Formats: sequence, structure tokens, C-alpha cells
Amino acid sequence: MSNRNKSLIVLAIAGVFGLLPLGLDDYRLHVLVICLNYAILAASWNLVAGYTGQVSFAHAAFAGVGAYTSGMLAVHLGFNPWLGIVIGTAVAGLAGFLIGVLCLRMGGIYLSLTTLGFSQILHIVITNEYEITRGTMGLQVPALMSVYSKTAYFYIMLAALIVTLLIIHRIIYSNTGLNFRAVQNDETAAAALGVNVVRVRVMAFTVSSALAGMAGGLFGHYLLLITPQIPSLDQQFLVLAMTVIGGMGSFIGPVIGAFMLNILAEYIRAYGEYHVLVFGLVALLMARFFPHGVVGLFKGKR
Amino acid sequence: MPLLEGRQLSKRFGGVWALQQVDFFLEAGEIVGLIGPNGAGKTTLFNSVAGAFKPTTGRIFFRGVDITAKTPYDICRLGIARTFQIVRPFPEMTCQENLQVAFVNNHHKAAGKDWASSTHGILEFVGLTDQMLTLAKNLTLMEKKKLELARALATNPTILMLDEVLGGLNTQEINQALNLIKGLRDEKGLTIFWIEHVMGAIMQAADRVIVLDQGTKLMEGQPGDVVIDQRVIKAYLGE
Repeated sequence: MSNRNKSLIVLAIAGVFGLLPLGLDDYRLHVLVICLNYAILAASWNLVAGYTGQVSFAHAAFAGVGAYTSGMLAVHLGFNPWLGIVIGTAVAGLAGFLIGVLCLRMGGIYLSLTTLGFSQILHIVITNEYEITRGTMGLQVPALMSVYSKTAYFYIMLAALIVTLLIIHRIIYSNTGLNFRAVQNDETAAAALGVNVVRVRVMAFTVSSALAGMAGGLFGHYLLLITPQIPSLDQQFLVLAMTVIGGMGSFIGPVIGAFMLNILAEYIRAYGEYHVLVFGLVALLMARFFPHGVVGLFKGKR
Repeated sequence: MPLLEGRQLSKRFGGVWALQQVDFFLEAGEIVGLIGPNGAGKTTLFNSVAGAFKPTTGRIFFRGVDITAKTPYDICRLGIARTFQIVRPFPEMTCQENLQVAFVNNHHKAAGKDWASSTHGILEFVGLTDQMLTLAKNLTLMEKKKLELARALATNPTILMLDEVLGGLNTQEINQALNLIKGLRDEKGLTIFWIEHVMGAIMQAADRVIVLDQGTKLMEGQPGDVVIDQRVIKAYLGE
């Protein structure tokens, strides 16, 4: 595809998205905002899982770090939520960096286990420290604007997704991105060619965690209520399923997966707990027939 | 001062000494062969130099500087490149991208070279120009070996360590590869440290040969002297 065609397509998509809120009722708008939020989470999780091959289970936890940092600053110290989200993003990035430095040396299953542990610990701490976090009651936080408007949130979330995608695009098409792929392909060979494997992974992990923190903060200040549901493993696996079904390791796949699964979830909401079953079925069928996700359908076999 | 020097290198894996007090050196511009029966410790020696693991005892010096504790990427960036006995291309990347990884991480050594033309040059040198945009997983074994070599060259090394690059090749391919390796020294001025089982090739190309057996250095000398040495014959053929 030529660059011109590509830009036209991007422009068309942007146009459709930009005009979307005009024809939608509040409920549909709400679903879209949630879709956009999941798209940020899935795309940033994909940066680590899809491009460096490290499976982290702490992505939802980092979203929680971002959300609670911003929420607590606003509630206890009266910070402006915008500033809170920026700080939350930084704190999530820092947390990612520290965990990365600690366990990315080992990589593989050790990272998965450590992040799983971190995520559970964080969840327990947030639930129990109710004096500061209000536990399962949830932390009521202020909105991002003085007059609450779903349309405004839609544009804010859309902008955040675009910024996220721009950052990820920039990274994966740079020398850093080349190193990500080399490390994922064969880390021994990459190291022998001068790639600092640990640094590459820590960097990917830090950026990815920071983006998750941003998504979490925005989400909290959209719902106006931050609960331990944000940093839960349920959320983590949902993000994982979106990425895998959309197309792990592809640029746009996780975004498609996020929209698909979230909209699907709305349609099958009526079946209550059974919707998990449907998700499992979709994931299974995708894994069997389209191992490269929805994106793999269009690309064909390379 | 030799370009590369190992002093009293030993490496223990559990109860087994894979290397025992081995001394070796490489002078700039030499082609040094490293031979020995299976399990002699040749690849262990390479791995110690390349930083894949630390030797249990002993020290390694590059241009007189101790590099014993350095990581693989540091060693590579200093100018010691290696190939792997079992080829390790990046399967989901094209040949060009495989080389690009080597190039961008060793920029400091590539003074004034731009990566596109030097990639082209290297791929042409090993004969992979037509496969430039092919994914590495789709190459034949011979082509993968060429890519392995090309990628090591793309790091702009001073020393090139080759681990059995000729294994599995036919006579004609061996001759091609031999010319290539000699060309690396004669035209590009590289120093070559070379593990090889194909004795004929070592005889033709090496200036000096080091023989390992069961982790110790059996002998060292001119290729012609090594092959008629009784100890070497015994190590290869038994009593």
C-alpha cells in the first residue's frame, strides 16, 4: 500500500471517529469510550507481549497504580485530576521500571510469575487499606471537566488512544523496535550482535506500564469511581484476550480486538456469567483457525 | 601484545571440567584454527571469550584489556563477533533486517559507513543479494549459514569467531566458503578464530592450529605439523 493510500485511510478512519458521537445516544457513547480505553490497554500490553515476547500479568495492576495515584491525589490532597493523571502515568512507569529491573534479567516465566504476584499483592493492599483507598466501596473522584459530558470524554479518550498509538508506532519503527523484534526472535543471538537485551526489555516494559497508568487514570476519572476492579486479574485477562484475538504482535490488532470483544460483551451481557463461556469459545476458535488473530485474516500467510 | 589472549582458562560444569587451564593467543591478522574431537571444549572456549558465560578461573584480554567479566553485547561492541554452531537467525525478520540489528547496535565502529550500502556490500560478499527481503526462516541451511556470517560481519568486528561454519556443506560449497574466509582476512583485515571439523579446510586456510582434547590444550602449531603429531592422531582415532 502506498503512503498516500495509507494516509487517506487513516484520515477516513479519523473522520468517522471524529463524527461518531453526533449520532449516538448516551449508552452507545459509553460503550465506545470503554472500547477506546481497552484499546489503549491492549495496544500498550502488546508492546511488551507482542513485540518483545514477555508476558506480563501486571498490566491491569499498572492501570490501577495510575488510577489510584491520581484518585488519591485528587481526593486527599485536592489535586487537579489532569495533573493527577500525569503523575499517575509517571508513577506507573516508575513501578514498571523497578519491576522490570528486578525481574526482566530472568525473563520468560519469571516475569509472568512476578507480575502475577505483584498484581495480586496490589489488589489485596488496595482492598484492605480502605482508610485511604476506600476498598471495595470505591474511591469517588472528580471529573476531568466542570460540566460532565460523555462526548467530551469520548474525544479525550480518542486523543489518548491516538497519542498511545503514535508513541508505539514511533518506537516499533525505530532502531529500538528493531531490537525488540530481535530480542523476541532470539535473545542469545541478539546479545551476540550487541543488543543489550535487559535494557531493551526494561524500556519496553516501562513505556508500556506508563501507558497503562494513563489509561487507568482516564478510566477512573471517567467513571468517577475507582474500585479494585481496575487492577484485577479479570481485567488483565480481558486485555490479554483482546490482544490475542485481535492479533498479538501486530500494530492495529489489539485495537480491533478491544472493540470486538467489548462490543460483543455488550450483546451477550444478558446471559450473565455465560458471557465468559462465549469469550472462551471465541478465543479457542481464533487460536485454532486464526492463530495470528483477526489481523492475520487480512494479511494472509507470510 | 597479542590481539586476544586467554590465560589459564578453566570452566567447570557441575563435576566436569569442560576447560582446564588453557592458554591461547591470537595475533592481529591471523587465521587460527581450533580443532579437537567432540567434547574437547572448543565451543566452551568460544563461549567464554564471547561472554556467554564466565570462565570458572582464568582471564581473557582483548588488546591488553581484561574482558573476562563482560557481557555478550559488550564483547560484541568491543569488536569480537561470533557465529553459532547451530545457526540462530532471527526467523521472522528479513535478511536485511537481520543485518540491520547488527549494524545499529555497533554504530560506533562503522565510522562513515551508511548502513544501506554496507548491508548491500556484505550480502553481496556472502552471496545473499537476491534473498535480501526474504524472511530468514525461509532460507536453506546454506543460506542461513551465510546469513549467520553476514550478520557477524555487519557488526564491523576486529575478530571473527567462526563455529563450524562448514558443517553440512558439500565440497564445492566448502571451497566457496574457504575463499570467502580467506578474503575476510586478506581484503578486510579481520583476525579469525575458527572451530572446524573439516580438516582439509583448516589445513588450507589456517596459519596456526590449536588442538584441544578433553578440556586441555594438546598442542599448537603449523597445520602441517599438527596432523602428523602422534598425540593428535591418538586423540582423534584412539589407541
